[in-house]
Amino acid sequence: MQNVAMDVSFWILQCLNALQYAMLLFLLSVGLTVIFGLLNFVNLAHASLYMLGAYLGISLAALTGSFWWALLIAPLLVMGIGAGLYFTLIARLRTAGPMNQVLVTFGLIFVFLDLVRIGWGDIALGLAAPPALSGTLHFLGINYPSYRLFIIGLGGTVMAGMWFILARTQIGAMIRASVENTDMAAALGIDVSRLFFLVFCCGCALAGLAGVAAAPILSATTTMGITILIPTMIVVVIGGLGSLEGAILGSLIIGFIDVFGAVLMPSFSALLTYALLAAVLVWRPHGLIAARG
Amino acid sequence: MLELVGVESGYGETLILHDVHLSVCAGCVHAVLGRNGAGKSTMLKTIIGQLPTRQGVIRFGGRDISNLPPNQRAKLGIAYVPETRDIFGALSVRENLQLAARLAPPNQGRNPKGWNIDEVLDFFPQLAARLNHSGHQLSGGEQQMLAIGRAMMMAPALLILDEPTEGLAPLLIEQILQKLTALKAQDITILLVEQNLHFASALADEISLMGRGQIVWHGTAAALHKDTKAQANWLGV
Repeated sequence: MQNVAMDVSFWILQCLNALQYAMLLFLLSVGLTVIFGLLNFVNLAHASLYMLGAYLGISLAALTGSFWWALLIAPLLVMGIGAGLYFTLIARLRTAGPMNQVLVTFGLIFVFLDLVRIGWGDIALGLAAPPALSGTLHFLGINYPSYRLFIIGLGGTVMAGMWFILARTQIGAMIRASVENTDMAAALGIDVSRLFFLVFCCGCALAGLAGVAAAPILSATTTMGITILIPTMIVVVIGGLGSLEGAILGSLIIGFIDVFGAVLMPSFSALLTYALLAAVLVWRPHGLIAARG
Repeated sequence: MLELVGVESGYGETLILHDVHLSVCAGCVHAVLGRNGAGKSTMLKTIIGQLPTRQGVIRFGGRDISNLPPNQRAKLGIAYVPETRDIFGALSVRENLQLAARLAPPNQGRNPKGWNIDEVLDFFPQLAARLNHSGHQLSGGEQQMLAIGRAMMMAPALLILDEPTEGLAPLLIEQILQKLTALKAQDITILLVEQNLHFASALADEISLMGRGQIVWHGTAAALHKDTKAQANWLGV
């Protein structure tokens, strides 16, 4: 009996870890995928904004003395940086073709990397979880850090909010229509450029939010952006470029495969994600839930 | 209402339209006919702003719209029903209609004859049962009805139709013809591109023929019927 109970709590624990990782991936991938869907724009620097969110969050927490202020303000600052990027580079790159977009945004990764090095140094910085969430909760026979539960809740809330906006509001219908057929959306009078800018800013803010939220668990490091870029891209490709449901499904799949792979077959875990990516690309080249028929 | 003066346009390096002159009067139905590749669809895409006007001027209601982006031309009251219908498959029929209605604030100096969803359903009763279905699920005929209904939700001053009969069964073509005749009776200005001479001459007050990227003939349907030479030169296979 003891053994079985141990087993069950082990599975619950791993499921929660997987969910929590999936939520971080979701916050990052959803912005990337909708931005791609709207304007065929691949922004590799998206993950740098996540890193900036973490560092800005740490500084803001130190400045204001409150994690919550940091969680609120850092995403707005990141959104501002995103808007700056949009007007200086991204708006001009919109018609420059994918290769130029990849080159420029890949270059931006290194620019942001060095800026963070100059501003905050090379040492990993920690951020304390807020006092209310620094303990553990006991339920279903396990002890689980309440901050990690908070991340699951945060991701779930954003997911539900985005679903509501996209599926139930006029602006959501405008976004879905523009993702599917930009020309026809414009012919119906939708200002697609402005819509794209709006969505781009929201995507940047979500990346910043993910950064602050991740900082208490993962610490802020200069490599955190690059580390999460690859799984985020995989989520976007597996889920289907431009699709919200795809980002949700892809995040869950990659989150669970990564966590359970590392526990159950550690020697294969790195391989599993890529094998899955390859399988999806062969089976469904447009992703599991393609946004465009 | 709509006037094209010496318009040049095309895709990328390729010039398709050369010096196009066209004039559509208010309340008229104007049909443009011509063979495949004559430049008819290119002209429509240039009018709505999907393709840039390289040379010449496009005037709408006396105003030069040649350099306006497509969404602003739509706001001036130009509604477009593309050859491919371009129904949003991920949106429900209702959402497809609502999206267009967003643009139709009454009394903005535009044609006040915009429809609401009930009027679209009165006009196309078949769509009523489909209101909550996604655009993917519609048949070709239903897509054409929705595309026209969607355009009418915009309260258009000018309705532009690109080959509305394309790919439809004869019975459906008759039905669409009846519907467009009913629209014509409501004094809506229509610019229509067609391959189907019967369909176009049943509807149009004026007909222009297009060939090699230019308007090559212009007159009434009756005049076109008599002018077998023009028919042979610009329409015959």
